[in-house]
Amino acid sequence: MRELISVFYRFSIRLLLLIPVVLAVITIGFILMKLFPGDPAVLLAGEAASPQYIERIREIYGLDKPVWEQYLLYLERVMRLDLGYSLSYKRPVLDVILTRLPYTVVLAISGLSIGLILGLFLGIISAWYRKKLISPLINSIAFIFYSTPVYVIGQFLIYYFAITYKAFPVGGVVTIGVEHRNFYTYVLDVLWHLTLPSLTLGLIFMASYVKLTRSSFLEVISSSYFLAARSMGLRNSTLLFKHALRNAIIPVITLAGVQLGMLIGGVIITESMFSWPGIGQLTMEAVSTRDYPLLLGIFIFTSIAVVVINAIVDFIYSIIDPRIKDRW
Amino acid sequence: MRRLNSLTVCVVLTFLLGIVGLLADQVAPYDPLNTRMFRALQPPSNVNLMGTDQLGRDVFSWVVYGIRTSLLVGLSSATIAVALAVIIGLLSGYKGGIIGNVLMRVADVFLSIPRFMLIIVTVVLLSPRISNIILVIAIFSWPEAARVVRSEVLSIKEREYVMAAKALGSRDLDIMINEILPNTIPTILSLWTLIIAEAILTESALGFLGLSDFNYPSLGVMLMMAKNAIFVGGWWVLLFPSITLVILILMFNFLSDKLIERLSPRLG
Amino acid sequence: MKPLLEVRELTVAYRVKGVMKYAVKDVSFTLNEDEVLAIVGESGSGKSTIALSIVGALPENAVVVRGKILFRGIDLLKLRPNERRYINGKEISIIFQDPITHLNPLRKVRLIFKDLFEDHGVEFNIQGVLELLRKLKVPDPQRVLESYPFQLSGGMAQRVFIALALVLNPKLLIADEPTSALDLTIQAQVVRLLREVRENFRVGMIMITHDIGVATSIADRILVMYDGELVEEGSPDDVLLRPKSRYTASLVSSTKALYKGVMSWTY
Repeated sequence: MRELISVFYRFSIRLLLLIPVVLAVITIGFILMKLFPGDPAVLLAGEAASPQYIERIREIYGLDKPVWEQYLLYLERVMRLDLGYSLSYKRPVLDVILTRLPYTVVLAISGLSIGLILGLFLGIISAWYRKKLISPLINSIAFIFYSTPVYVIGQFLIYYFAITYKAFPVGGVVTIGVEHRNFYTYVLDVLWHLTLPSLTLGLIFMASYVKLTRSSFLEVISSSYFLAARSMGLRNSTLLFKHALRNAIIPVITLAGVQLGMLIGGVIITESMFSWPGIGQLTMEAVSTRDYPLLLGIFIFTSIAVVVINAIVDFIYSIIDPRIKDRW
Repeated sequence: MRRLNSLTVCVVLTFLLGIVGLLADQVAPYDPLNTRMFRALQPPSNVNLMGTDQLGRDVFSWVVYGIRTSLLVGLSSATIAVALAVIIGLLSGYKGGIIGNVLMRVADVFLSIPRFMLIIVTVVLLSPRISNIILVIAIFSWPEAARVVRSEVLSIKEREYVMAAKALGSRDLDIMINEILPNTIPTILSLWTLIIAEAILTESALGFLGLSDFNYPSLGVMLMMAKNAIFVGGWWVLLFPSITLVILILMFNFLSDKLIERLSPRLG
Repeated sequence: MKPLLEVRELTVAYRVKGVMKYAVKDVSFTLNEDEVLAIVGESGSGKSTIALSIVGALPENAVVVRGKILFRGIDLLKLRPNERRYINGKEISIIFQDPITHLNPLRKVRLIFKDLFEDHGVEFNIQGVLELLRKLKVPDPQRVLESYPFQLSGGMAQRVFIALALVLNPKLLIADEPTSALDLTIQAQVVRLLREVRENFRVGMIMITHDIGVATSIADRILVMYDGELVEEGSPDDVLLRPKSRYTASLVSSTKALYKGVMSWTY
């Protein structure tokens, strides 16, 4: 019972702490909106709109009222989950975002997973065999990948696997013009298209995970409790899995959680490169069509998403790590 | 005879690149912005060391000027960001209290926003001029640096010589400048080079998306050309700018790592 | 009495920045079954190194230059790690200074015991563990088993550690500065505990400490180490009242001065 109360308590505190940050984000959005060049009403209604429509817009957004009132109106709109109306899609912004969100999520999770698996694996090898040649080799390769921009890796992958060897498609989610008879072939097609983009992301993440895993692992190995465990005559497999790994993984998982949040806003380049129809590509579309309401809406959405995801990760953490459990 | 260690090699190489950037006008054989369609997509040759892109621009010249742009943006934004970060970090770490907390909350808000997203939005809004780009990158780099500086300051604050200075009645400002600041220099330098690396990354990314200042050739722009060039066999458009970019970023990342290693006072 | 452990000409050095620093120089001694041996010395005298050499837990830069450590006839130094592990924990066990940092903070105490049992091929006897903890004066052993190491106090953690060391009935227990990281009152408790362990369990002990008082209150024989060398060996009375080497004499007198002339340390 006591456990439940403390869980609830922790959850509500975090919720409360979220609010100022979210508020700040929304306010920044408002400020940005005010910074848009030109008459905001025209911008929001679209340049081809009729004067009456522009007047309507002026009314709805309260653009002729003092800034204070505009801000409050704006806040109220956001609370109602009304992020505006996309000019290029002629649909509510939130709608558009939500349609594209799943693609980004799929890409983000695949990329992170590949990065995590590769990173953990290589990091542990680099730590375990740190006296042999393979360790500095892995570290150097990781370092190079770490310093390589995502579009360079992506381009090289495209060049080799999509153009030279034609093993994977260059972009898109599904092969155009193909009718899928069942769900199974559809999934396979998507996976085939997903390979290169998620590999690109994965290689970038791998770099940071290798470094972190290695140092975390080394720290655990040289710790007092590991020494004591060894002196107790435990098996190598026990030492590795139940003592070393579990403890070493924690910082890595934390990083992954934080990066997941960052990813939602950060896959712009990868998605552009591979024409992956997620939020990133949506952003670029909004930029090129000067669809300001959409752009702003994406900004608010992704920022809040990041904040919320971080808070959730933090929360899950407090439940899992026994050391933090006690503090509240 | 001093040993040739990795740090020296790195610093030397970076300097060389810096000189290339500085003397771009002299080094580059052609005007990079000059498009000559009849020489479009030529492989590397005696005339064009690194070949040309689809618009006939000499890749080598572009790369040279690209180095200059990257270093310009990198150095400027990093310097601004670090300057801000040091001031804010010092103040908030040393004085602490309400101001310190508020400043850190502000930094936190900046940190929660997907950086790149915001940079794009801002650059779109404010027109992609080079000064805007530098400013925007600086504005979004200082929060994290400020945090690091602050935590350094917090730990230095507790050291004996700071306590001694306080006991002797030195003014706060004096303490901050004479005692604390010198000890944060390794961290500051390391942060500076790290931000340079990040800034170069961001700057070229903007170039890749077509959001850079057209008067300042960006390596990213050439990579944008590469996007299509590789489909018609123009591997040189991809290769040379890529290698240059990776080397640039790598050098600064490496410097950042090594600086903190070598300059931090050895403990015991 | 049969010798349980024989250390012959043990010489261990640490490689520091390319230079070999000798921590243990040509040390030889014997430990008999059921005997308690105390190794006394100041920091850097090499006493911990001896302990670590016996269990094979020396750091990476350590080199065993020469010597043998015979345990029931087997030279421990010649064993490979996967052979060592049959001895560690089961025949020879070790407890360390600062017990809490030596226990995995993310693993419940009960599971640590479980690992120990299972890896040595013995069925997990939870009743036996509880019984042992009770004997070691642990109040509410059930709760302790379900706790995490960081939730325990220093003295409690040390008892858990002692339990881990004794639960598989080893022949030799090594205690490396078991009291140094604890408060003075807890120190006294732990020393008393170890004395009781000595009386109730048939186990040989090597006690490593810098505190002569602790050594004399529990040991049958005392070894004094200085700068890697064995400078004195004898019974507590011999060492205290009739020290043969100058170092031992100064050690005794300075400790005496500290305790203002109290000759028998009663804990």
